[in-house]
Amino acid sequence: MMKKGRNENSKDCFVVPGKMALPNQYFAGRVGSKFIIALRDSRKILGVKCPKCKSVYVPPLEYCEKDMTKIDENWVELGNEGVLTNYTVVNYRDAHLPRKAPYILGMIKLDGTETPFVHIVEGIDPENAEIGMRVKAVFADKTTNTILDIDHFAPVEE
Amino acid sequence: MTKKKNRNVGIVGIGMTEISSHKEDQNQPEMINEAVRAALADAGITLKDIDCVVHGNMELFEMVHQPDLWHMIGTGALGKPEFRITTGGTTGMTLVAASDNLVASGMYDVVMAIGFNKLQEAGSTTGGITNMADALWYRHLQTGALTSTSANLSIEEFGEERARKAAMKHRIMMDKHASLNQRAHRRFGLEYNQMEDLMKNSPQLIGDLRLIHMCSQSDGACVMILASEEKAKRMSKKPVWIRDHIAVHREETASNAYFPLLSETSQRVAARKLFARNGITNPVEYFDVFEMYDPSAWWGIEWLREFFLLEGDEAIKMVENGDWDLDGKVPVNPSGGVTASNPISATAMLKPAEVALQIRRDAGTHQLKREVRHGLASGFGGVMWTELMMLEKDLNWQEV
Amino acid sequence: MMAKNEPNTQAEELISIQVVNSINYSFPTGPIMGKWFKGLKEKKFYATKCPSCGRTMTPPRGCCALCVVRSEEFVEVGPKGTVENYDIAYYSSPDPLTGKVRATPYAAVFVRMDGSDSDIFTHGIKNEDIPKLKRGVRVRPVWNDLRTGSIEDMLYFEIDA
Repeated sequence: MMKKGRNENSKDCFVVPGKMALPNQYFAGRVGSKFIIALRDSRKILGVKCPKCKSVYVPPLEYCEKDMTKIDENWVELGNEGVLTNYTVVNYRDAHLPRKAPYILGMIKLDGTETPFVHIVEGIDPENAEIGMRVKAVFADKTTNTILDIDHFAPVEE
Repeated sequence: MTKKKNRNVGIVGIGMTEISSHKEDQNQPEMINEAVRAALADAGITLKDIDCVVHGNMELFEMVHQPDLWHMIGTGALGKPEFRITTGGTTGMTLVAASDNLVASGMYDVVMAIGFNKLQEAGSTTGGITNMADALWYRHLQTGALTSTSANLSIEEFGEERARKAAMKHRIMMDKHASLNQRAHRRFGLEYNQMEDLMKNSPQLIGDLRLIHMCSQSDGACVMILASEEKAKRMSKKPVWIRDHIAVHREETASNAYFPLLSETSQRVAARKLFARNGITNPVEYFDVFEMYDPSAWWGIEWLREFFLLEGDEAIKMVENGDWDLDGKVPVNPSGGVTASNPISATAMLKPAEVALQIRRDAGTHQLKREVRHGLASGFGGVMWTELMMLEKDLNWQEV
Repeated sequence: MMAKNEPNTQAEELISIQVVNSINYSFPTGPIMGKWFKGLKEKKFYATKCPSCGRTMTPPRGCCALCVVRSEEFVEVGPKGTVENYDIAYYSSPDPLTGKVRATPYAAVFVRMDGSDSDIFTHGIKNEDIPKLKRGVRVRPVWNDLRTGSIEDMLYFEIDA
């Protein structure tokens, strides 16, 4: 039973601007650190392979998520090339985004793995991007100890 | 209104990581995974036997939104029903209470509850807690869990010297208990002859709340596996039964702001109702152990009176006489309590977990000598929210 | 017994990154808090009163949670009050609105507003009055010259000598 209409009370409403600003830190862990260091210092992409179910994980995990086998000693080096399994085009601007719009966020399945991971795809007009196209990692000159030590993936010249 | 369970629920698996700070060599899912594997091993089962996962932490404390999605790679929840629960400081115990309800209801037979916090990854826990406060009028002032309002009231009631001594004695007793617990985070090796020195020299945080009185900020994960009575009896030689639990979070018991004008604290309401509906008329006589969620020594001594429905200076006299010690009338926090270890969302789960370990006689170096049949565990969170849980060794308790 | 994590024999680099997550928000007041802030602008404390139990609530609530009834009748309370309890902070945590750390000591007071027997309002107290803080002292608000309809329209309480 609605007694008062909303419009009657809204004369007293207004909006107060606010903010939340909190410092924090993230630890990559031993396994994550090895992955980042390989990107940063050797320009290599490493994954881990589960000896039981043969899944290859990149970024790497300490334990296989399917059967809980400890896999952090089974490092494999993956190449820098893979397939674009899907993508989206980011069309809005936000201070938290790594690029100015429009830019392509792609799912990249590196050769030798079954699971794609997300990264930026550059060097191609968003209109010309195609599922199934081959892409290659381009490493960053200035590194940040994050996944952006790969700067982006670029289409492979056929 | 008595609560009748559809079927009984037993704790069959308990897993904990070591509780420390700065776990830099693990990320969040890896830390959780350590406790998950430990609990599965303790229960003697694999992920296949888990019907449902219940995951929780204080939201945004690690600055990750909905972390259960990411943590799936460590929790083993892939392809399973999962609940995410976040109820502030009480999260750990809410996870166990919710899992108990899920199993008792008949919806799931075996449920895994996961609580954790990796607080070194939060720049500031108190800064995070202040996000609970109303953004328009309270946030600029909120000091989170840090308050001396309890100390002010205890000092007014018992006098400066008696109150301060009791709080410090309780704190030192907690540290002595923690020193026996190999998993505890902070073990200072305090002695009672340091009381005067600490009372003078420990830095003041807020009023009479000093640094030494206050809980730590820790990293750690705790996992408990609950099963229906039938499965629990098959899976475990010594399942620990969850008899009953209650949560009290009402406006008149909430927030420091109402504190002085409360009719009752949430601790007392919880104890009064839980004991009445279970026919417990003398809690000091009944319980063999109490793991209390005591974020500060001041709240510790105040809430002992509330939880045991004592009056006047009865509880503080028991502090002075050592009645809450390991060989006293009701041992309190043989694990060292929250001032020693506080991986917040695991903390409130560590309370029933530690009680269960005591009942099973698996607590190791901090195992109580006496027989432990009837255990009590409490959880606490913002704002002044209390949870209370009763655990039993045997299924033969009388329904009231 | 749990094994402690042993460090590798060679010094192992462990990656961590520090960030400050800064997110802008806007908070709508709603009609009830909106009216309360307008009262602050006029140096007044409005409260809502429960039609059932008669208690007043500052800041106001549109519903009395004890009686579970709507409480939209406004009354004025204060502006003075009695300190029921207080917290003097010697340790400061980052202000969530700015990320900065506040200067200590500072204090919050829980004040029972005049005209009500159960209405507690919290605000800061003037730094100079901190040494005189005791349960039961009388306080009065100190108003900001510039008032815009926010909690900062009141600077803090001071002791009402």
